[in-house]
Amino acid sequence: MVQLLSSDNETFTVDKQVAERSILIKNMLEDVGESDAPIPLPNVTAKILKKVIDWCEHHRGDPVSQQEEINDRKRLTEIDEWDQKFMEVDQETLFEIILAANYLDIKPLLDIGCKTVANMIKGKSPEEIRRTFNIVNDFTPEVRQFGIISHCYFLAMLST
Amino acid sequence: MAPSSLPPEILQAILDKLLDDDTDYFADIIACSLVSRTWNHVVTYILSRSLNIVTLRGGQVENLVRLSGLLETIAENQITLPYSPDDIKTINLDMSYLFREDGTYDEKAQEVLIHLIEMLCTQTTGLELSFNHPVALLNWQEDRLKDFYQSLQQTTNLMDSVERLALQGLPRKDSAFVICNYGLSHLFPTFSPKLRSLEFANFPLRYAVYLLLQSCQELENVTFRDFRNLWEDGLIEAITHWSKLRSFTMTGCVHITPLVLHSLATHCPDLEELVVPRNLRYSKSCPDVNISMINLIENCPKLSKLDLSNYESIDDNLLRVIVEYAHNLRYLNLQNFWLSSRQYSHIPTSAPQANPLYNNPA
Repeated sequence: MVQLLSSDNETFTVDKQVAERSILIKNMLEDVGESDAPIPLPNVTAKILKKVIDWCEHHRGDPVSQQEEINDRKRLTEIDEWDQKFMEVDQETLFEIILAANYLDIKPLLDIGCKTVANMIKGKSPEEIRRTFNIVNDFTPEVRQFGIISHCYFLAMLST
Repeated sequence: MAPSSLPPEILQAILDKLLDDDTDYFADIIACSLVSRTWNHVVTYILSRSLNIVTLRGGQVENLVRLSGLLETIAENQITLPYSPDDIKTINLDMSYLFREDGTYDEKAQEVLIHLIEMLCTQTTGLELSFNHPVALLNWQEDRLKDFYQSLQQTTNLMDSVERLALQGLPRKDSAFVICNYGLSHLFPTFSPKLRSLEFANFPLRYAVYLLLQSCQELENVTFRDFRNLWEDGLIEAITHWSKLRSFTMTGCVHITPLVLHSLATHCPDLEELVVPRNLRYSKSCPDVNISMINLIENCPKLSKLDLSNYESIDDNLLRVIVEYAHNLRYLNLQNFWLSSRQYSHIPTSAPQANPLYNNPA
């Protein structure tokens, strides 16, 4: 068993096989060798670490390289049902999972997170994307005005 | 937390996933470039290393309108175009956009498609335009495609942009009886003076188009794939005008005689690559099928790639000529031919520069 310490000082005890879904932790364990000391993960909160551990538990049996290959071949909309459900969280949690997957070096989880966000982008106009993710339009006002004109053109083309 | 506050490498990983979807990725990625400056920079980076082919694979015309509107926004304003027009090397267009599900013609789709082609093509050079056609069209539908090509020719100035043209029918062999050329007579004069590469796949041609092929005097690469009912005399006459031809590929075609090879040997001295059609058949005017092949090897000294995997008439004399005359040969494919031990021993020693692919003798 391996102990993981979140940024808010909560300790989780997990199977070594589960923990080693993270390449970062796997490398740490190899470097440190046998040790009872918890591994500090200063970039991951307890809430997110719990989610990540849940994902790793579910995918503990997946062969690492094969999983990556399958993910690469899968089309955008093809996310496993379990993973889809797993990613049904609020936006902030979703992005924190993505950041944690990136930090912990769990490529399949990072891929699923990125695919989920990409699916949220698909088919949307720039303005809809901004609204969805609460992004500020930092192009100049002139450009913004032209954007509106273009949007009108788009609507006009559709309505004629 | 929003994507704008994500590190750029994560945003890039997210937007990269859009490229996995081969239907509307281009519209989606262009939309992302208009979200904010950061997104624009990331999209520019992604497209700088991945943009090569723009595929408009068919579907709802609204998707075309959307892409058109997005490009308009960029073109008319100060937003940085997230790609260099020259990065686009192929535009792959599915002509099924032009027909609704009930088979009727969609005027709006025609207007948008032409507008889109104009926006994507006119700033670029060395482009390949690839048109994929639904094969089973009724006569009146074919007429509408003719209108489309006519309008495309009249409203755009593509001659300087397009160097390569690929025309494909959908690979449904059961409907190949429909012989239609979709107004190519109108399209060809637009491109032909500067066209350098031409590919036909499962795309039967009418008489008039063979005549138009004669005007493609800059052609360097020609490919015919899965062709039925080729009008050989028309092709042979066209080849007489292709003096700059460097590559000729013919696969999956039937009823070809060695006269095609003879014409290549006579009129295309710069030929470098040749994929020979299978089942060359006996011709009264050319009783020995190998004579034309031998002529070609003797007359085309730049030949560096020779694929004879479909050629069934290889004999000692032809192999001798290859060894003696094809001094620049770098690739030789004899895959479906069984060499005798004596023939086998000739090739590696006599033509060490060639890299033959052949079946070892038993």
